Amino acid sequence: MLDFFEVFGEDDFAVAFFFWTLVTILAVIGAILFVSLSWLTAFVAVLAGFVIFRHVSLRRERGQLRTGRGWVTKSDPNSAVPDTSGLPAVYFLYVLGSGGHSAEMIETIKQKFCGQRNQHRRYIITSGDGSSLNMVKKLEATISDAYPDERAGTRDVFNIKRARAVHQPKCTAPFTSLLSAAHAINALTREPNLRPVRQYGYQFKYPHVIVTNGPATGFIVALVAYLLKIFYLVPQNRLKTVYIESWARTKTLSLTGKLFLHTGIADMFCVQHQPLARAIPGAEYVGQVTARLTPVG
Amino acid sequence: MASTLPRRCLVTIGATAGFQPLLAEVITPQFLSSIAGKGFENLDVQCGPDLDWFRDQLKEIPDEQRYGVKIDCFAITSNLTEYMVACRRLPGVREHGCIISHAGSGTILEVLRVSVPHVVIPNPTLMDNHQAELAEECEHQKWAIYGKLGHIIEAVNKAMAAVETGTEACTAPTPYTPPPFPVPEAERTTLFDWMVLTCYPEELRRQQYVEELRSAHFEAKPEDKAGEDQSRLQAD
Repeated sequence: MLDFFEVFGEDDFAVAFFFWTLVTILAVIGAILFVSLSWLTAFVAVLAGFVIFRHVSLRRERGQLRTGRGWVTKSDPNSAVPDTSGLPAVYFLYVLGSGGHSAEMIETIKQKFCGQRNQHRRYIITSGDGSSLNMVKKLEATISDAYPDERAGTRDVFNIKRARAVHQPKCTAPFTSLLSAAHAINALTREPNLRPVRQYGYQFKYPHVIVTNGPATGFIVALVAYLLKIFYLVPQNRLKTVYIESWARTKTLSLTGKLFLHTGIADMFCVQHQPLARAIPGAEYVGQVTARLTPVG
Repeated sequence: MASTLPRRCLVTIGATAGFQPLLAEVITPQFLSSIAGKGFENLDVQCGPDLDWFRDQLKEIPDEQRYGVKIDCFAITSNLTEYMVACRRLPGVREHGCIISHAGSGTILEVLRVSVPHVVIPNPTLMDNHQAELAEECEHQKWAIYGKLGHIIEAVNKAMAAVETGTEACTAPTPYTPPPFPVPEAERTTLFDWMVLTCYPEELRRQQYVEELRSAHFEAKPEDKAGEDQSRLQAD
């Protein structure tokens, strides 16, 4: 157990996660040994039924939300832009990947940013990804230059273990994936230090919107968030996932994109190119949110 | 046009993966003599993980095969934007330069912002050659010239010809100004703010209702509304 604390540092949630995983495994082994097989089958069937029921009902709720006004990507000067400055909290969680994914995400954040006192941002970075960390630092410097006052909001950075390092053998990948899932739970449920519960209540406890654009870590985080929602471990009006297919994909989906599309765990599945939107039913064309390009003249 | 002004060329392959075929091709005598003939004086090469290999290759090139082109190399830098800006045209100082890249999305976005003639060479050995898809789109949108390994000279010629005829997306004003931050309210992406509002259904419904009223009003009589605004302004 001591080793666990050294590996995770302060991540007591992750330690708890592993403790309960261990207990569950022991319970399952005990059940197989001492409980009749029919009871076990019944238990598994009920669990599976519950998950499927929750999945279907979550998707139905989402469909109801989408009716009414169409989503806009760029604000129209003639329209009332969505005003979030009056809300008790606005908390975004951005999952950064590597190289191009991070660069696109930073650009997306720049294109959507506006100064508000009530905002918190959390960046998730895979451990050992120094270039993404530099990009975040640069972005935060730009933000605090533009908003030297409280409107810059608060932010923090969480590290997550990579699901699979570049040359890691495939047989150990499930275990490291489990480890990154544990880190993801921690990143999704830990209250920001700068927005403590005793001062702000539970408004900043869980992120409102998770934004990811294609790294594998993003899928793990989104999946963990979805499972937390399925089992009612987090409030239902939090942890909405927005998946933005990378700007680099113009005609076909990436692997992560396919995973998101087929599992249906993203509350919104966006693509940035028209040909791709036409090819994929269920994808929302949102325009090029990562790039504001001047027209060629 | 003034061909006496110097040009700069930047080759970048990103930080993640090496791309030796591209690096090898830009230091062949044919390539160097070709760009030297166009007035290029500097060649900056960002090598990523291939830096040591590239340095070894450079040592073997004698000075007479460099045709006066000064070659600099580095692994990775945090101010690549400055290198890109150095390739821009600056009236009286230098002519349009050229950037040759590996068709990574981050690089393409940055070059478009800086606006320099751009040649993209996708790395065919990467995962299912996904960068070729983006390179095709770039060629289609005239953001960059889609070059192939073994034919970089032609691609650079094409890019330099395109910039002379003004068909490439590098007509931004000189000198370089970084994009504004925060972005103007009319250009801001509001998708994510709507998503936050879905966490507060009552507030969402209220704002949607207000928005519907407004848009209905605007579609009905846009001129009246404009006049009304005008009169309100005057009243203020």
